[in-house]
Amino acid sequence: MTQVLIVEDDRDAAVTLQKGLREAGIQASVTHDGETGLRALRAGGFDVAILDRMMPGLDGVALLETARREGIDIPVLFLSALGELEDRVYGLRAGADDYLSKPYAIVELVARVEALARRKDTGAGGLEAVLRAGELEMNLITRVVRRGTQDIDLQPREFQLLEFLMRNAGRSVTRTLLLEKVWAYHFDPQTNVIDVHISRLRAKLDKGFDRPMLHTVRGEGYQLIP
Amino acid sequence: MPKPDAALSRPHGRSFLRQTPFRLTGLFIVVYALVAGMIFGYFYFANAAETRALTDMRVGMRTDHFTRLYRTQGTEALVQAIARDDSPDGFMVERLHDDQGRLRAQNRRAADMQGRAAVALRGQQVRLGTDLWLYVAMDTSWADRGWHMGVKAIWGGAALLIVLGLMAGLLINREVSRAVNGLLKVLDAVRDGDMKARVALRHSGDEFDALAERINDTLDRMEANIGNLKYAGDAIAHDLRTPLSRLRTRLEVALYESRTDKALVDEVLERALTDTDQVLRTFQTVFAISRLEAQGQAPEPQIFDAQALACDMAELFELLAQDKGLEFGTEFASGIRVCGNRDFLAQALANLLDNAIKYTEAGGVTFRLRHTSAGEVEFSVTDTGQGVPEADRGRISQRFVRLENSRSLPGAGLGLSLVAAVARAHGGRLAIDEGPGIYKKDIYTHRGPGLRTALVLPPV
Repeated sequence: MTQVLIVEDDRDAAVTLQKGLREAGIQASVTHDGETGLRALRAGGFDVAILDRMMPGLDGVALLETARREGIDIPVLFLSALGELEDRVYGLRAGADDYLSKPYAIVELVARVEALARRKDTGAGGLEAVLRAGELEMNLITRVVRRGTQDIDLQPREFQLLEFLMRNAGRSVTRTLLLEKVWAYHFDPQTNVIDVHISRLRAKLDKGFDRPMLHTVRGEGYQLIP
Repeated sequence: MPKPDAALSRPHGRSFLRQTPFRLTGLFIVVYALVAGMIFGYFYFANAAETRALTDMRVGMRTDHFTRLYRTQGTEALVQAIARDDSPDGFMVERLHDDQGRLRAQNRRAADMQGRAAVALRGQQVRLGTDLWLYVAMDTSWADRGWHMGVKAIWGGAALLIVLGLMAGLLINREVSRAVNGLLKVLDAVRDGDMKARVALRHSGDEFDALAERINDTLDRMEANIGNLKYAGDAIAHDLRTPLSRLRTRLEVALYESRTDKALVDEVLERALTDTDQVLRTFQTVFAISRLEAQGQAPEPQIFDAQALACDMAELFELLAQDKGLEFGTEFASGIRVCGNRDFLAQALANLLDNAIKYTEAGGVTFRLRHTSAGEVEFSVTDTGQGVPEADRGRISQRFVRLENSRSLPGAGLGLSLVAAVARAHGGRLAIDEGPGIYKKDIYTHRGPGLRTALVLPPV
């Protein structure tokens, strides 16, 4: 089971976060200040660390820089109330692997934490040649996608979209996360522009099958159910 | 609010001695007086030295003359010569006396002088022989008298200078004070909250008028800005109140219904989440616009291929247009590079494309990238939608401005404001023009004239 360390001075927020992660089957330990957080990181045993950027005493950036200097290479997700682009860049420069601004959707946080945990498991994001999710099979080398015995013909972007959904099969992914990971743009797609791409993909994926695989999760995003 | 310092707010209450024009006048008077004194002193010393030299020379010549006379012709001739008073110089005083100081002879001037005190004499006494002294001197009172009259004139002049100077100083002081007090009164009024206060111009064309005009101009702009802020504040309040009150109602209903039907709760909570997201988005966008405007430049700028960005955005939005039955065309010039923040520019283009698709019912949207004749980089989006009347084009990029016929569609009225803010932060602009014309597919669809929005960036 994935073990997460949360360093967050806002106790309410930390508890909510811990609950949200537990719902998704992730065990989380909580510390409320930078110094304790750093000691916990040194002790080890965590797969991912979630650091709040603004904390009294040792803040998130200082904590992370110290940890990185000491050779602690745990994947780190930064939380910040600032939420501006330059803050994100600053956080990533300080050595964070991902960044999320408050307020965030718990599903998005879970998706990102799981992606970080997986990266730790498989090195740089999965080297396998074939992805499988239920009866869906994607060959990353020949680029052939098959559901059961039926070949599915995908455009390059649809292929990337499906690859990301398959890597996160069973989990909700938000529109912002899709735009970030599939299109590589960091902004909030305020419209249904992502929805249209999903419905195209869904039409190809679920056409002729009784059971739909690609679901819309209201208020959250999308989910590929194996 | 702290009570304003009375001395600062009311300069007319300050002693005139402390006011700048008066102090300047005083300084000028002192300087003029010093210079005049120096010039006068120079003349005095130069003149006095000359007078002394001349006097000494004449006294010497006379003494020599008498000494020669005594040597050649004896005492009696000398006595007679002095008594005769044959000096061409009326100011010469000549006396001859013995060892005991008894007078042997003197000229008329010497006789006149007896009994008169305080006579300025300059001369010498020589011993001619045993028991005989010659005293020759010159009465220099004439020169001193002239000098004294000069000094009196100088004092009078100085007094006049000071009196007239002070009067001029007071006049200047009053004029300047009046102008400055006018300015201060207006600034006081503005500080106390009256944004409408303006300085009355005197139309004299002087510096004070220029200053007053500048202050009025600044106040005009501040008033407009504060007006905009107030408007934006009202608009934010209005925009957030709608989803917040909706959210509240839903939660209230959910609480009420959760007692009877548990299934409804999920749905209501989901909608409440969506509403909350909308409120947060509005906040986030307003925040992003403010940050861009405050910073005046885009964060983390980099040089990249404009065509790649345009292609990405076209690919992202093409399906949206197609889904609505619109044609989606692209015309991208290649090899154009831009400098800026990729994500902000992407968001700006996304907003333009989204607007075009949202407000077009029939026809199509064309997305272009080209160099303008001025060498600028222009991303333009043209649509065949209902367009925007020319009178409204200026204000649709202001925050929270939504035109009447767009209110039924989703949106907070921040899309174009963000584009404008992004454009400005990159040193560019948002251009809004007439579209390609009325689109006629059949007799029923002629929504036209369309709209052309363009993000124009400076060349790299």
